[in-house]
Amino acid sequence: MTQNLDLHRAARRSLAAVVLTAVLITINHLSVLGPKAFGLGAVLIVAPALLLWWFKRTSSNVAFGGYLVMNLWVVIGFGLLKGLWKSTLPVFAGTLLSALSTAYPRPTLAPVWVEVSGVAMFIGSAFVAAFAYQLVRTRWGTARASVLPAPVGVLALGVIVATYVVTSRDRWVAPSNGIVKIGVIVPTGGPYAVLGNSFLKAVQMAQSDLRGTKYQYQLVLVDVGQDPYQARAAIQRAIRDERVSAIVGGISRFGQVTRPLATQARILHTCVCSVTSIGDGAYNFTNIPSPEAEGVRWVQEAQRRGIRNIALLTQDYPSIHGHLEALKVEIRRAGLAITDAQEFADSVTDFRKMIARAQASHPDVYYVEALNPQLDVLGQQLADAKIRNIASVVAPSVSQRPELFEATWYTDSNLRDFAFKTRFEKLYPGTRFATHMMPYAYDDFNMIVQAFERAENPAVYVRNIRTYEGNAGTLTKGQGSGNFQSTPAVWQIEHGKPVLLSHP
Amino acid sequence: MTKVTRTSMLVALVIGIMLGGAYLITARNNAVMNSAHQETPSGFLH
Repeated sequence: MTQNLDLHRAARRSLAAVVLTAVLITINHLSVLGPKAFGLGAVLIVAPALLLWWFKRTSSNVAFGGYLVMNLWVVIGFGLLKGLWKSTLPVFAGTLLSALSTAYPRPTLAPVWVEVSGVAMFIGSAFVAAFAYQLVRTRWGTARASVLPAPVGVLALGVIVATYVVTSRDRWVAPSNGIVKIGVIVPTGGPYAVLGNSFLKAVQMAQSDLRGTKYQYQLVLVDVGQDPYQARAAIQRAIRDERVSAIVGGISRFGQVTRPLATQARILHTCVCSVTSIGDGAYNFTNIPSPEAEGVRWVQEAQRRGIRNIALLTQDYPSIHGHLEALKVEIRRAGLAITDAQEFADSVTDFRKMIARAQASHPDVYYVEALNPQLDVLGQQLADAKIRNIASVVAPSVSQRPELFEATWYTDSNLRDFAFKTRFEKLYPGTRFATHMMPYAYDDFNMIVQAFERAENPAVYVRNIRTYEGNAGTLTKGQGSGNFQSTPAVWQIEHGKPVLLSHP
Repeated sequence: MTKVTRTSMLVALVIGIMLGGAYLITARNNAVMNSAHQETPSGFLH
């Protein structure tokens, strides 16, 4: 009778632990399964409850065994594999290890509620295991089941933690057959043709410039098309089938797709991307001047030229908004004035009224930023209105008719050595030199090569870089940061061609 | 205070520290790794 009471009490406790943990599992899986997580939760609650009810009525060993199997599923499947390995260890051990050594990546964590519910899932599963053990002891008597004391659990936990410490460390692996495969992920068609092809050629030029290296460096060109969502499969193939050791990429929309895949494969991914969140400082790093850096440099140059009043004529486009926001901050900081600000949609082709309004505000300079074809149409109409005091950020370098922007000054990426551009244009006469992308692509490739030549894991090597003397001047990166910073230079259109006016 | 009460309090404290710690660490980690306030390309089609 007493044993029956004890058994029922142990069963109630055990079921309560299972139900509570099932609720946590449901919450945790909402991010992955959506509403289907409630179905999972229902199975995890209803099945053990039914099995226990069956056992209570019949004392069936099948029912008892089934109940224990459900407990095992909760403890191993959700508590250990998911709660411990995928949440608790990355959150605590992963964060600590990455703080102690750059050989460990900073863990990529899910939103707070997912990670906290993951840790709670692990804690809940520990209670499930403890109460299931108590139930077994009560059912079969203490003598048969007392061989699993707490020290065994602590030892098992220690082994799992040690395994995590060993396996999460990024190690140098010598390339097989002495060949290093580097994936090049950049779109080369449609609206990306100019930048993408320029990027690709820059990487090819960097490869052909290599002399006397220990390893052979092979480029794996990944055909990603023009749709970032379709690019995913091509990138996965390059990682899985071609077994690339690192990735150089460009264009943020494709970098955003590459980021989780590179992290999953634990390979370095450098990206000439302006979306800085792509650079997580673990496996993904961005390399391009920030809009803030462009804004600071632009205002410095404006002040040097004695400019006080500025009229803005800009296209409604996300890239341009980024520059404009940063520029406005710097303009305010420097005490300059915006005399007129007009934004236009990409359907506008007649800018004459806008130009007249801006003219009436008597600015010292017209800040113009747009994409083609609007850029060149606006350039023509500004020229018709005899306006020559124009400035910009990057835009004139992508104009199809740069002669329209004669004497226009603008900020763009720096070039340590102008001969680099000349050499590129000689090597690839049909390819346009996109200053905003080229030197960074070249430098990114060389960072990967340097890592291999020094026999260092590429991701660890780049994590450790603080300054890098590259083709775009001095690149800097803060500790733990995934974003290389660089200072833009001032350019001017002279005789229909971009000329580097001053280094930073 | 009985041994059971003491143990229960200790277990509750450990759980609280684990969950609170996980909250703080994850929030800080995600703030650093997704530090960009700007999620649209800022360069030309970059």
